[in-house]
Amino acid sequence: MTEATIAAGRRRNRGPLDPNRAAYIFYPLLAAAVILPVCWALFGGFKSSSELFAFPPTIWPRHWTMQNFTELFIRLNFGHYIWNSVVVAFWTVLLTLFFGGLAGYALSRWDFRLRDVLLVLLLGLQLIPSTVNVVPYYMIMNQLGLLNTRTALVMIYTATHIPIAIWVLKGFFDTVPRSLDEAAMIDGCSKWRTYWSIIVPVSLPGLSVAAFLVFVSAWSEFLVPLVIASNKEVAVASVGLYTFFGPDSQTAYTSLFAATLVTVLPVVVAYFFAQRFLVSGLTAFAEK
Amino acid sequence: MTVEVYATPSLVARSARGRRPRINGYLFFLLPGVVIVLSLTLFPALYGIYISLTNLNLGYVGSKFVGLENYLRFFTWSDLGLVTRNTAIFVGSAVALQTLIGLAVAVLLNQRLIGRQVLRSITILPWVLPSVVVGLVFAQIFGGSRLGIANYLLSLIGVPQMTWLSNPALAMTILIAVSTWRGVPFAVVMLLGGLQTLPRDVYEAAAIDGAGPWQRFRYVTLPMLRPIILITIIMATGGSLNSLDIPLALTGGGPGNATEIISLSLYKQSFFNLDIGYGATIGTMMLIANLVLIVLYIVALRPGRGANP
Repeated sequence: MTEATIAAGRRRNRGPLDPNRAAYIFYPLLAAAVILPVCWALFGGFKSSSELFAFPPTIWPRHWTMQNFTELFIRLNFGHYIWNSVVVAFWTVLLTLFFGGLAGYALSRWDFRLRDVLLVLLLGLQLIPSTVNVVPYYMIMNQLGLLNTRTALVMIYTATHIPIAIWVLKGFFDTVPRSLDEAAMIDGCSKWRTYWSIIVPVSLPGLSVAAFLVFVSAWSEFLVPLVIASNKEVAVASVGLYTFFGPDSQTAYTSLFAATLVTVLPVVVAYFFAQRFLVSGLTAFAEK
Repeated sequence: MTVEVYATPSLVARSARGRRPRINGYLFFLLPGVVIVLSLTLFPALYGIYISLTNLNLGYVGSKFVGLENYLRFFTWSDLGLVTRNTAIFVGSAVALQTLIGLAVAVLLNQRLIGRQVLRSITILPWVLPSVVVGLVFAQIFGGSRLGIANYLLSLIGVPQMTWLSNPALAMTILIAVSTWRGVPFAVVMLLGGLQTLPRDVYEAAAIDGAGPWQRFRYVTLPMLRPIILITIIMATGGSLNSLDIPLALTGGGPGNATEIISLSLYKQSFFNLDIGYGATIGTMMLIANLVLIVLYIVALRPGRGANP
């Protein structure tokens, strides 16, 4: 009797497919698992060394200090590493979108034999990991005389990221109506001009998703630059971080968190900026 | 850039005034990208196989073809058993955890609750953090000698202080945990994408037939999500097998060689011992494992591609 009433009451409030509010229990757990380590690392940059190694540790700095940052930028010259990362990521994004966009457009607009085979092949090639290729990369760049150059990094990153750009952009171009191309053609546009003046401007959302994915990935690359461009002059931020603060280094750990903040800031800002279209774009990509 | 490529339905687009040679319209767009990709993905992989057949060493000038000698060394390598065991434990545990936690989180985030967008943004965040940074930061969190924050958190529930990364079993556990922390967001993105495509009417039908939440998950969600789960597992396996950033920054293979996995061996043999030929041999073995995964991945993608043409 009572059970039936409760069940009936529950049914009136909440259909069987409505979300269960008990799920909220997991919200703080999940959020804390991500946010606690991230905040501890990011705020650590503003703590004095005595507070960093204090016990019990703090998350929110008791006394804010910029000392770690001055140390990082003046003594360790970390700005130079960040600059290298910026240069390499910039050219990688630009070249990847340029070549990936052209190829994506071809794969979207022309029907030719082996098109699907090529798309799958590109997907497969993209999955060859840099761990496997790092030894040949070293030898190739050595023979080309490009060891310890940013050019070598841009070349490798561009090649390894073009497939993902092709997939994202082809998917986007497929949603752009072909009637646009046809109208441009009737007006006498070449395919080349159609692409640059009609397709590219309406594809900015797709290009942004691709640019974001390539940027984050290029910014985070570690093994390839560690092996082929570890020279101080050309080292990128991830390599700088590892050489300064890795297991074998002698540098004081106090600047690690400041360096972490500076290194992750661009990607985290881009991530929250890109949030809205990103998740839907990624979801669409995952369904392909 | 005044190349004129005319759109014609045929494969061969003729140049306007016949002054230029014939250009295959699509090849002009397609080839540069494809050539770049091939020359720095496929070619290095093949070149790596060639290097593995030589005795190339960065410490010496010149090298000669030695056939399968490096492979003989690989299969009689005294650490092979240990490294294989470590790799299997690391990859197996990390993939299982990433998939299970990823599935649970994806189901949670698929509930139409207020605030789920914010939680989704937070959950996916570790995915964009450079993994070497993740490794270095967690090395500090568990940094035994410096009374890392992990010791403090555990001291709150009465667990004595530990030197985490110098205990072999703990170091492996932490390596798996940190890789999972970094890897869960990817599984969430994949699985949440899959969950959102599942048709609601099937759930309504199941609910009308009296299926509870667990039964709906077990008999509706899981079977329908299977292709995406499979792809997630394949991708996560590749990610863990090839991961080098986190292991190098977190444990570097230590203590001793308790967390020495195959990717670390490749790196150390090639660039510490300068034995490039042997490093390429390990790379070729890893390439074979990756090719198996890539084939599985493409096969797993097939049914989905047939379903929505």
